[in-house]
Amino acid sequence: MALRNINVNIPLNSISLITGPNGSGKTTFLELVLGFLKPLTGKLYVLGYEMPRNASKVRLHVSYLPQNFMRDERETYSVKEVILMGLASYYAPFQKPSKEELRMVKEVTKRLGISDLLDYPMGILSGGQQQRVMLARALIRKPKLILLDEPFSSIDRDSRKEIVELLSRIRDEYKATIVIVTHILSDVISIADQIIELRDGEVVRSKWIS
Amino acid sequence: MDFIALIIIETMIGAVLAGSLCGSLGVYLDRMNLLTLGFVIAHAALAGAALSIILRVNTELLAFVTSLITVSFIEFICARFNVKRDLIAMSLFALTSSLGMFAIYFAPTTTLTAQTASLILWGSILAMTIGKIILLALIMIVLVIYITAFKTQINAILFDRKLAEAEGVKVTLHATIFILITTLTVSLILRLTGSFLVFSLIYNSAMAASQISRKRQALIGGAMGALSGITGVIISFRLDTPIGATIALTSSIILFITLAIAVIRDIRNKKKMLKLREGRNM
Repeated sequence: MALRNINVNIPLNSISLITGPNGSGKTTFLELVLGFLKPLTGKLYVLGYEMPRNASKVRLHVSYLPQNFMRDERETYSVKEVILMGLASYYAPFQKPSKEELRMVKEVTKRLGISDLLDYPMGILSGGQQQRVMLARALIRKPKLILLDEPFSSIDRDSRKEIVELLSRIRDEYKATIVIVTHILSDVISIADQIIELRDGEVVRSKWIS
Repeated sequence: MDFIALIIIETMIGAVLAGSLCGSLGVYLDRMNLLTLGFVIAHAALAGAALSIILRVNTELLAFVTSLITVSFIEFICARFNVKRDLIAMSLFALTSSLGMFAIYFAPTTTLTAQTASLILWGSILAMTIGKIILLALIMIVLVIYITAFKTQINAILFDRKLAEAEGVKVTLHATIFILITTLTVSLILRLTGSFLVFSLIYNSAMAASQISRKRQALIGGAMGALSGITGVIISFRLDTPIGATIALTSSIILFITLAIAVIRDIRNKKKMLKLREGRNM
Protein backbone atom coordinates (compact mmCIF):
# COMPACT_ATOMS: atom_id res chain seq x y z
CA MET A 1 0.00 0.00 0.00
CA ALA A 2 1.44 3.38 -1.04
CA LEU A 3 1.30 6.25 1.45
CA ARG A 4 0.34 9.75 0.27
CA ASN A 5 0.38 13.22 1.84
CA ILE A 6 1.82 11.99 5.11
CA ASN A 7 2.93 14.72 7.49
CA VAL A 8 3.59 13.11 10.84
CA ASN A 9 5.67 14.23 13.79
CA ILE A 10 6.39 11.71 16.54
CA PRO A 11 7.98 13.38 19.59
CA LEU A 12 10.68 11.70 21.67
CA ASN A 13 9.65 9.76 24.79
CA SER A 14 6.08 9.27 23.62
CA ILE A 15 3.79 6.42 22.66
CA SER A 16 2.12 6.79 19.27
CA LEU A 17 -0.50 4.45 17.90
CA ILE A 18 -0.80 3.93 14.16
CA THR A 19 -4.19 2.46 13.47
CA GLY A 20 -6.49 1.76 10.54
CA PRO A 21 -8.08 -1.13 8.65
CA ASN A 22 -6.12 -3.86 6.88
CA GLY A 23 -4.35 -2.51 3.81
CA SER A 24 -4.42 1.10 5.01
CA GLY A 25 -0.60 1.39 4.93
CA LYS A 26 0.32 0.80 8.61
CA THR A 27 3.09 -1.71 7.95
CA THR A 28 4.32 0.38 4.99
CA PHE A 29 4.71 3.27 7.46
CA LEU A 30 6.98 1.14 9.69
CA GLU A 31 8.97 -0.13 6.70
CA LEU A 32 9.63 3.48 5.68
CA VAL A 33 10.78 4.34 9.21
CA LEU A 34 13.12 1.32 9.18
CA GLY A 35 14.53 2.27 5.78
CA PHE A 36 13.29 -0.86 4.03
CA LEU A 37 11.36 1.39 1.63
CA LYS A 38 12.37 4.67 0.02
CA PRO A 39 9.92 7.61 -0.19
CA LEU A 40 9.29 8.53 -3.83
CA THR A 41 8.77 12.17 -2.86
CA GLY A 42 9.25 14.19 0.31
CA LYS A 43 11.65 13.73 3.22
CA LEU A 44 11.64 11.36 6.14
CA TYR A 45 13.76 11.93 9.24
CA VAL A 46 14.15 9.34 11.99
CA LEU A 47 16.04 10.30 15.17
CA GLY A 48 17.34 13.32 13.25
CA TYR A 49 18.73 11.31 10.36
CA GLU A 50 17.39 11.39 6.82
CA MET A 51 16.10 8.00 5.71
CA PRO A 52 16.78 5.64 4.06
CA ARG A 53 20.25 7.13 3.41
CA ASN A 54 21.23 6.72 7.06
CA ALA A 55 19.34 3.47 7.69
CA SER A 56 22.41 1.63 9.00
CA LYS A 57 23.05 4.37 11.63
CA VAL A 58 19.41 4.63 12.68
CA ARG A 59 18.86 0.86 12.94
CA LEU A 60 21.51 0.66 15.67
CA HIS A 61 19.18 2.73 17.90
CA VAL A 62 15.94 1.03 16.93
CA SER A 63 14.22 -2.08 18.25
CA TYR A 64 11.56 -3.70 16.12
CA LEU A 65 8.94 -6.36 16.78
CA PRO A 66 7.71 -7.74 13.46
CA GLN A 67 4.16 -8.90 12.85
CA ASN A 68 3.41 -12.65 13.19
CA PHE A 69 6.84 -13.65 14.50
CA MET A 70 5.34 -16.56 16.52
CA ARG A 71 7.60 -19.59 16.46
CA ASP A 72 6.36 -23.19 16.55
CA GLU A 73 7.82 -26.08 18.58
CA ARG A 74 10.56 -26.69 15.96
CA GLU A 75 12.33 -23.49 17.06
CA THR A 76 15.16 -24.66 19.29
CA TYR A 77 16.99 -21.39 19.98
CA SER A 78 16.79 -20.80 23.73
CA VAL A 79 15.20 -17.70 25.20
CA LYS A 80 18.65 -16.47 26.29
CA GLU A 81 20.07 -16.94 22.79
CA VAL A 82 17.15 -15.09 21.19
CA ILE A 83 17.51 -12.15 23.59
CA LEU A 84 21.29 -11.93 23.05
CA MET A 85 20.75 -11.92 19.27
CA GLY A 86 19.47 -8.38 19.84
CA LEU A 87 23.08 -7.32 20.49
CA ALA A 88 24.43 -8.95 17.31
CA SER A 89 24.80 -5.68 15.39
CA TYR A 90 27.09 -4.26 18.11
CA TYR A 91 29.41 -7.27 18.27
CA ALA A 92 32.88 -7.44 16.71
CA PRO A 93 34.05 -10.76 15.19
CA PHE A 94 34.55 -13.51 17.84
CA GLN A 95 32.95 -11.30 20.53
CA LYS A 96 30.94 -13.15 23.15
CA PRO A 97 28.38 -11.70 25.58
CA SER A 98 30.06 -9.87 28.45
CA LYS A 99 29.23 -10.45 32.14
CA GLU A 100 27.47 -7.08 32.14
CA GLU A 101 25.30 -8.12 29.17
CA LEU A 102 24.41 -11.43 30.83
CA ARG A 103 23.47 -9.51 33.97
CA MET A 104 21.29 -7.22 31.84
CA VAL A 105 19.53 -10.25 30.34
CA LYS A 106 18.71 -11.47 33.85
CA GLU A 107 17.54 -8.03 34.94
CA VAL A 108 15.33 -7.39 31.91
CA THR A 109 13.79 -10.89 31.95
CA LYS A 110 13.12 -10.54 35.67
CA ARG A 111 11.30 -7.29 35.02
CA LEU A 112 9.24 -8.96 32.28
CA GLY A 113 8.50 -12.03 34.42
CA ILE A 114 10.30 -14.55 32.23
CA SER A 115 13.60 -15.00 34.12
CA ASP A 116 12.84 -18.67 34.82
CA LEU A 117 12.46 -19.40 31.08
CA LEU A 118 15.98 -18.41 29.99
CA ASP A 119 17.10 -21.93 29.05
CA TYR A 120 13.78 -22.97 27.49
CA PRO A 121 13.53 -23.38 23.71
CA MET A 122 11.62 -20.46 22.21
CA GLY A 123 9.24 -22.78 20.33
CA ILE A 124 7.58 -24.27 23.41
CA LEU A 125 6.55 -20.91 24.90
CA SER A 126 3.02 -19.48 24.67
CA GLY A 127 2.25 -16.46 22.49
CA GLY A 128 2.35 -14.10 25.48
CA GLN A 129 5.67 -15.51 26.71
CA GLN A 130 7.21 -15.23 23.23
CA GLN A 131 6.00 -11.63 23.06
CA ARG A 132 7.81 -10.90 26.34
CA VAL A 133 10.99 -12.55 25.04
CA MET A 134 10.89 -10.31 22.00
CA LEU A 135 10.30 -7.28 24.24
CA ALA A 136 13.31 -8.34 26.33
CA ARG A 137 15.35 -8.55 23.11
CA ALA A 138 14.12 -5.08 22.19
CA LEU A 139 14.99 -3.63 25.61
CA ILE A 140 18.47 -5.12 25.92
CA ARG A 141 19.46 -2.95 22.96
CA LYS A 142 18.65 0.17 25.05
CA PRO A 143 16.85 1.63 22.02
CA LYS A 144 15.81 5.22 21.45
CA LEU A 145 12.93 4.06 19.27
CA ILE A 146 10.78 0.92 19.58
CA LEU A 147 8.57 -0.10 16.66
CA LEU A 148 5.88 -2.71 17.30
CA ASP A 149 3.90 -4.17 14.41
CA GLU A 150 0.57 -5.63 15.61
CA PRO A 151 2.07 -6.81 18.92
CA PHE A 152 -1.29 -7.98 20.30
CA SER A 153 -2.46 -10.10 17.37
CA SER A 154 -1.43 -13.49 18.76
CA ILE A 155 -1.94 -13.10 22.50
CA ASP A 156 -4.86 -13.41 24.87
CA ARG A 157 -6.57 -10.48 26.60
CA ASP A 158 -4.80 -10.93 29.97
CA SER A 159 -1.33 -11.01 28.38
CA ARG A 160 -2.31 -8.02 26.26
CA LYS A 161 -3.17 -5.98 29.37
CA GLU A 162 0.13 -6.92 31.05
CA ILE A 163 2.17 -5.98 27.96
CA VAL A 164 0.36 -2.65 27.64
CA GLU A 165 1.33 -1.84 31.26
CA LEU A 166 4.88 -2.91 30.52
CA LEU A 167 5.08 -0.59 27.49
CA SER A 168 3.99 2.33 29.62
CA ARG A 169 6.75 1.50 32.15
CA ILE A 170 9.32 1.10 29.35
CA ARG A 171 8.54 4.59 28.00
CA ASP A 172 9.04 6.10 31.46
CA GLU A 173 12.05 4.06 32.63
CA TYR A 174 13.98 3.78 29.34
CA LYS A 175 12.97 7.22 27.98
CA ALA A 176 12.13 5.46 24.73
CA THR A 177 9.87 6.58 21.90
CA ILE A 178 7.37 3.84 21.09
CA VAL A 179 5.37 3.47 17.90
CA ILE A 180 2.68 0.77 17.93
CA VAL A 181 0.92 -0.35 14.78
CA THR A 182 -2.36 -1.95 15.85
CA HIS A 183 -5.96 -2.37 14.90
CA ILE A 184 -6.87 -3.24 18.52
CA LEU A 185 -7.21 0.13 20.23
CA SER A 186 -9.31 -0.78 23.27
CA ASP A 187 -6.51 -1.92 25.60
CA VAL A 188 -3.67 0.26 24.46
CA ILE A 189 -5.41 3.63 24.13
CA SER A 190 -4.99 4.30 27.87
CA ILE A 191 -1.21 4.65 27.53
CA ALA A 192 -1.08 6.44 24.16
CA ASP A 193 0.08 10.04 23.70
CA GLN A 194 -0.92 10.24 20.05
CA ILE A 195 -3.23 8.32 17.68
CA ILE A 196 -2.71 8.44 13.95
CA GLU A 197 -5.41 6.83 11.83
CA LEU A 198 -4.59 5.75 8.31
CA ARG A 199 -7.04 4.86 5.55
CA ASP A 200 -6.16 4.03 1.95
CA GLY A 201 -2.62 5.29 2.49
CA GLU A 202 -3.56 8.69 3.91
CA VAL A 203 -3.77 10.12 7.43
CA VAL A 204 -7.48 10.64 8.08
CA ARG A 205 -7.13 11.54 11.75
CA SER A 206 -4.27 12.56 14.03
CA LYS A 207 -5.11 13.22 17.64
CA TRP A 208 -3.10 14.08 20.75
CA ILE A 209 -4.25 12.64 24.06
CA SER A 210 -3.49 14.78 27.06
CA MET B 1 51.28 -46.33 -3.81
CA ASP B 2 49.98 -47.24 -7.26
CA PHE B 3 48.18 -44.82 -9.53
CA ILE B 4 44.69 -46.31 -9.06
CA ALA B 5 44.97 -46.28 -5.25
CA LEU B 6 46.03 -42.62 -5.38
CA ILE B 7 43.01 -41.74 -7.53
CA ILE B 8 40.70 -43.60 -5.15
CA ILE B 9 42.10 -41.82 -2.07
CA GLU B 10 42.03 -38.39 -3.77
CA THR B 11 38.45 -38.91 -4.93
CA MET B 12 37.33 -40.11 -1.49
CA ILE B 13 38.91 -37.16 0.34
CA GLY B 14 37.52 -34.79 -2.29
CA ALA B 15 34.05 -36.30 -2.01
CA VAL B 16 34.06 -35.99 1.80
CA LEU B 17 35.17 -32.35 1.64
CA ALA B 18 32.75 -31.52 -1.19
CA GLY B 19 29.87 -33.29 0.55
CA SER B 20 30.44 -31.70 3.94
CA LEU B 21 30.85 -28.21 2.44
CA CYS B 22 27.73 -28.54 0.26
CA GLY B 23 25.70 -30.04 3.13
CA SER B 24 26.58 -27.24 5.56
CA LEU B 25 26.15 -24.50 2.97
CA GLY B 26 22.81 -26.01 1.96
CA VAL B 27 21.51 -25.62 5.52
CA TYR B 28 22.57 -21.95 5.66
CA LEU B 29 21.21 -21.19 2.17
CA ASP B 30 17.92 -22.89 3.08
CA ARG B 31 17.46 -20.98 6.33
CA MET B 32 18.44 -17.70 4.65
CA ASN B 33 15.91 -18.30 1.83
CA LEU B 34 18.70 -18.44 -0.75
CA LEU B 35 18.26 -21.99 -2.04
CA THR B 36 17.13 -20.87 -5.50
CA LEU B 37 20.41 -18.99 -5.83
CA GLY B 38 22.28 -22.23 -5.07
CA PHE B 39 20.39 -23.86 -7.94
CA VAL B 40 21.23 -21.03 -10.35
CA ILE B 41 24.89 -21.02 -9.26
CA ALA B 42 25.20 -24.69 -10.34
CA HIS B 43 23.73 -23.99 -13.78
CA ALA B 44 25.71 -20.78 -14.27
CA ALA B 45 28.80 -22.83 -13.45
CA LEU B 46 27.73 -25.29 -16.16
CA ALA B 47 27.56 -22.43 -18.70
CA GLY B 48 31.02 -21.24 -17.59
CA ALA B 49 32.51 -24.73 -17.72
CA ALA B 50 31.05 -25.34 -21.18
CA LEU B 51 32.31 -21.96 -22.42
CA SER B 52 35.77 -22.87 -21.16
CA ILE B 53 35.88 -25.65 -23.79
CA ILE B 54 35.47 -23.11 -26.59
CA LEU B 55 37.69 -20.44 -25.04
CA ARG B 56 40.29 -23.04 -23.91
CA VAL B 57 40.66 -21.50 -20.44
CA ASN B 58 40.61 -23.00 -16.95
CA THR B 59 37.19 -24.66 -16.39
CA GLU B 60 36.89 -23.99 -12.66
CA LEU B 61 37.91 -20.34 -13.05
CA LEU B 62 35.39 -19.62 -15.79
CA ALA B 63 32.68 -21.56 -13.92
CA PHE B 64 33.37 -19.39 -10.85
CA VAL B 65 33.37 -16.13 -12.84
CA THR B 66 30.14 -17.01 -14.68
CA SER B 67 28.38 -17.96 -11.43
CA LEU B 68 29.56 -14.77 -9.76
CA ILE B 69 28.40 -12.58 -12.65
CA THR B 70 25.02 -14.35 -12.70
CA VAL B 71 24.46 -13.94 -8.94
CA SER B 72 25.57 -10.27 -9.04
CA PHE B 73 23.18 -9.68 -11.95
CA ILE B 74 20.30 -11.27 -9.99
CA GLU B 75 21.02 -9.07 -6.97
CA PHE B 76 21.27 -5.96 -9.18
CA ILE B 77 17.92 -6.69 -10.84
CA CYS B 78 16.32 -7.39 -7.44
CA ALA B 79 17.54 -4.11 -5.97
CA ARG B 80 16.98 -1.95 -9.08
CA PHE B 81 13.63 -3.20 -10.37
CA ASN B 82 12.06 -4.64 -7.21
CA VAL B 83 11.62 -8.07 -8.85
CA LYS B 84 11.36 -11.20 -6.70
CA ARG B 85 14.75 -12.94 -6.41
CA ASP B 86 13.30 -16.39 -7.18
CA LEU B 87 11.63 -15.13 -10.34
CA ILE B 88 14.73 -13.60 -11.90
CA ALA B 89 16.84 -16.53 -10.63
CA MET B 90 14.68 -19.08 -12.44
CA SER B 91 14.75 -16.99 -15.65
CA LEU B 92 18.52 -16.94 -15.50
CA PHE B 93 18.57 -20.68 -14.75
CA ALA B 94 16.96 -21.26 -18.17
CA LEU B 95 19.34 -18.79 -19.83
CA THR B 96 22.53 -20.24 -18.33
CA SER B 97 21.44 -23.82 -19.09
CA SER B 98 20.81 -22.84 -22.73
CA LEU B 99 24.17 -21.07 -22.94
CA GLY B 100 25.86 -24.18 -21.53
CA MET B 101 24.17 -26.42 -24.10
CA PHE B 102 25.05 -24.05 -26.95
CA ALA B 103 28.69 -23.94 -25.84
CA ILE B 104 28.85 -27.75 -25.75
CA TYR B 105 27.18 -27.98 -29.17
CA PHE B 106 29.60 -25.51 -30.80
CA ALA B 107 32.73 -26.87 -29.09
CA PRO B 108 35.73 -27.52 -31.47
CA THR B 109 35.65 -31.29 -32.19
CA THR B 110 32.97 -33.93 -31.87
CA THR B 111 35.01 -36.40 -29.79
CA LEU B 112 36.24 -33.71 -27.44
CA THR B 113 32.72 -32.35 -27.12
CA ALA B 114 31.19 -35.70 -26.19
CA GLN B 115 33.88 -36.45 -23.60
CA THR B 116 33.95 -33.00 -22.04
CA ALA B 117 30.19 -32.58 -22.11
CA SER B 118 29.82 -35.88 -20.27
CA LEU B 119 32.43 -34.79 -17.71
CA ILE B 120 30.78 -31.40 -17.11
CA LEU B 121 27.23 -32.74 -17.01
CA TRP B 122 27.67 -36.00 -15.09
CA GLY B 123 31.07 -35.81 -13.37
CA SER B 124 34.23 -37.95 -13.39
CA ILE B 125 36.32 -39.83 -10.84
CA LEU B 126 39.41 -38.34 -12.46
CA ALA B 127 38.33 -34.79 -11.72
CA MET B 128 39.65 -34.56 -8.14
CA THR B 129 43.27 -33.44 -7.81
CA ILE B 130 45.55 -32.67 -4.88
CA GLY B 131 45.29 -28.96 -5.75
CA LYS B 132 41.50 -29.04 -5.58
CA ILE B 133 41.57 -30.98 -2.30
CA ILE B 134 43.83 -28.31 -0.77
CA LEU B 135 41.52 -25.55 -2.05
CA LEU B 136 38.41 -27.33 -0.70
CA ALA B 137 40.14 -27.81 2.68
CA LEU B 138 41.02 -24.11 2.73
CA ILE B 139 37.40 -23.15 1.95
CA MET B 140 36.27 -25.44 4.79
CA ILE B 141 38.69 -23.74 7.23
CA VAL B 142 37.56 -20.27 6.08
CA LEU B 143 33.89 -21.29 6.49
CA VAL B 144 34.44 -22.62 10.02
CA ILE B 145 36.39 -19.50 11.08
CA TYR B 146 33.77 -17.21 9.53
CA ILE B 147 30.84 -19.00 11.21
CA THR B 148 32.66 -18.95 14.58
CA ALA B 149 33.57 -15.26 14.24
CA PHE B 150 30.03 -14.14 13.36
CA LYS B 151 28.04 -16.73 15.31
CA THR B 152 25.61 -14.28 16.96
CA GLN B 153 25.03 -12.30 13.75
CA ILE B 154 24.45 -15.46 11.68
CA ASN B 155 22.12 -16.91 14.33
CA ALA B 156 20.16 -13.64 14.35
CA ILE B 157 19.74 -13.88 10.56
CA LEU B 158 18.72 -17.55 10.73
CA PHE B 159 16.17 -16.77 13.47
CA ASP B 160 14.54 -13.90 11.57
CA ARG B 161 16.22 -12.28 8.59
CA LYS B 162 14.05 -9.14 8.50
CA LEU B 163 14.30 -8.57 12.24
CA ALA B 164 18.09 -8.93 12.11
CA GLU B 165 18.25 -6.40 9.28
CA ALA B 166 16.00 -4.00 11.20
CA GLU B 167 18.39 -4.27 14.17
CA GLY B 168 21.36 -3.31 12.02
CA VAL B 169 22.91 -6.72 11.30
CA LYS B 170 24.60 -6.60 7.88
CA VAL B 171 22.32 -9.26 6.36
CA THR B 172 23.25 -8.57 2.73
CA LEU B 173 26.97 -8.82 3.51
CA HIS B 174 26.58 -12.18 5.27
CA ALA B 175 24.30 -13.53 2.52
CA THR B 176 26.89 -12.44 -0.05
CA ILE B 177 29.67 -14.25 1.84
CA PHE B 178 27.63 -17.50 1.91
CA ILE B 179 26.85 -17.14 -1.82
CA LEU B 180 30.52 -16.48 -2.58
CA ILE B 181 31.65 -19.57 -0.66
CA THR B 182 28.95 -21.65 -2.38
CA THR B 183 30.03 -20.35 -5.80
CA LEU B 184 33.66 -21.25 -5.08
CA THR B 185 32.75 -24.73 -3.80
CA VAL B 186 30.41 -25.54 -6.70
CA SER B 187 33.00 -24.38 -9.25
CA LEU B 188 35.65 -26.62 -7.68
CA ILE B 189 33.53 -29.78 -7.42
CA LEU B 190 31.63 -29.30 -10.68
CA ARG B 191 33.70 -31.89 -12.55
CA LEU B 192 33.45 -34.46 -9.74
CA THR B 193 29.66 -34.60 -9.44
CA GLY B 194 28.65 -32.90 -12.67
CA SER B 195 26.68 -29.66 -12.90
CA PHE B 196 23.27 -31.33 -13.02
CA LEU B 197 23.89 -33.30 -9.86
CA VAL B 198 25.98 -30.94 -7.70
CA PHE B 199 22.88 -29.46 -6.07
CA SER B 200 21.75 -32.91 -4.89
CA LEU B 201 24.54 -32.60 -2.30
CA ILE B 202 23.30 -29.13 -1.34
CA TYR B 203 19.53 -29.75 -1.26
CA ASN B 204 19.32 -33.38 -0.10
CA SER B 205 21.78 -32.89 2.76
CA ALA B 206 20.01 -29.70 3.93
CA MET B 207 16.62 -31.43 3.86
CA ALA B 208 17.97 -34.56 5.58
CA ALA B 209 19.48 -32.39 8.33
CA SER B 210 16.17 -30.58 8.83
CA GLN B 211 14.44 -33.94 9.40
CA ILE B 212 16.93 -35.00 12.09
CA SER B 213 17.12 -31.91 14.28
CA ARG B 214 16.80 -28.13 14.32
CA LYS B 215 19.91 -27.94 16.51
CA ARG B 216 23.39 -28.06 14.97
CA GLN B 217 21.82 -28.45 11.55
CA ALA B 218 24.86 -27.19 9.64
CA LEU B 219 26.98 -29.85 11.33
CA ILE B 220 24.42 -32.59 10.59
CA GLY B 221 24.02 -31.33 7.00
CA GLY B 222 27.79 -31.46 6.58
CA ALA B 223 27.93 -35.01 7.97
CA MET B 224 25.07 -36.09 5.65
CA GLY B 225 26.85 -34.57 2.66
CA ALA B 226 30.16 -36.22 3.59
CA LEU B 227 28.40 -39.59 4.02
CA SER B 228 26.68 -39.21 0.64
CA GLY B 229 29.98 -38.27 -0.99
CA ILE B 230 32.12 -41.10 0.35
CA THR B 231 29.41 -43.79 0.01
CA GLY B 232 28.73 -42.62 -3.55
CA VAL B 233 32.43 -42.83 -4.45
CA ILE B 234 32.81 -46.34 -2.93
CA ILE B 235 29.70 -47.64 -4.74
CA SER B 236 30.84 -46.00 -7.97
CA PHE B 237 34.26 -47.71 -7.76
CA ARG B 238 32.79 -51.08 -6.75
CA LEU B 239 29.99 -51.22 -9.33
CA ASP B 240 31.69 -49.12 -12.01
CA THR B 241 28.79 -46.65 -12.19
CA PRO B 242 28.87 -42.93 -13.12
CA ILE B 243 30.22 -41.09 -10.08
CA GLY B 244 27.98 -37.99 -10.16
CA ALA B 245 24.79 -40.01 -10.58
CA THR B 246 25.87 -42.48 -7.86
CA ILE B 247 26.58 -39.67 -5.35
CA ALA B 248 23.21 -38.06 -6.20
CA LEU B 249 21.40 -41.40 -5.78
CA THR B 250 23.18 -42.11 -2.48
CA SER B 251 22.25 -38.69 -1.10
CA SER B 252 18.64 -39.28 -2.19
CA ILE B 253 18.58 -42.65 -0.41
CA ILE B 254 20.00 -41.04 2.75
CA LEU B 255 17.31 -38.35 2.47
CA PHE B 256 14.54 -40.97 2.16
CA ILE B 257 15.91 -42.85 5.19
CA THR B 258 15.86 -39.65 7.29
CA LEU B 259 12.31 -38.90 6.07
CA ALA B 260 11.23 -42.41 7.10
CA ILE B 261 12.91 -41.98 10.51
CA ALA B 262 11.14 -38.61 10.94
CA VAL B 263 7.74 -40.16 10.11
CA ILE B 264 8.30 -43.06 12.57
CA ARG B 265 9.45 -40.58 15.26
CA ASP B 266 6.33 -38.42 14.71
CA ILE B 267 4.03 -41.46 14.98
CA ARG B 268 5.78 -42.57 18.21
CA ASN B 269 5.55 -39.05 19.66
CA LYS B 270 1.83 -38.87 18.84
CA LYS B 271 1.26 -42.28 20.49
CA LYS B 272 3.15 -41.11 23.58
CA MET B 273 1.03 -37.95 23.73
CA LEU B 274 -2.17 -40.00 23.38
CA LYS B 275 -1.07 -42.33 26.20
CA LEU B 276 -0.26 -39.34 28.41
CA ARG B 277 -3.68 -37.79 27.73
CA GLU B 278 -5.44 -41.11 28.38
CA GLY B 279 -3.49 -41.43 31.65
CA ARG B 280 -4.63 -37.97 32.71
CA ASN B 281 -8.30 -38.68 31.84
CA MET B 282 -8.39 -41.94 33.82
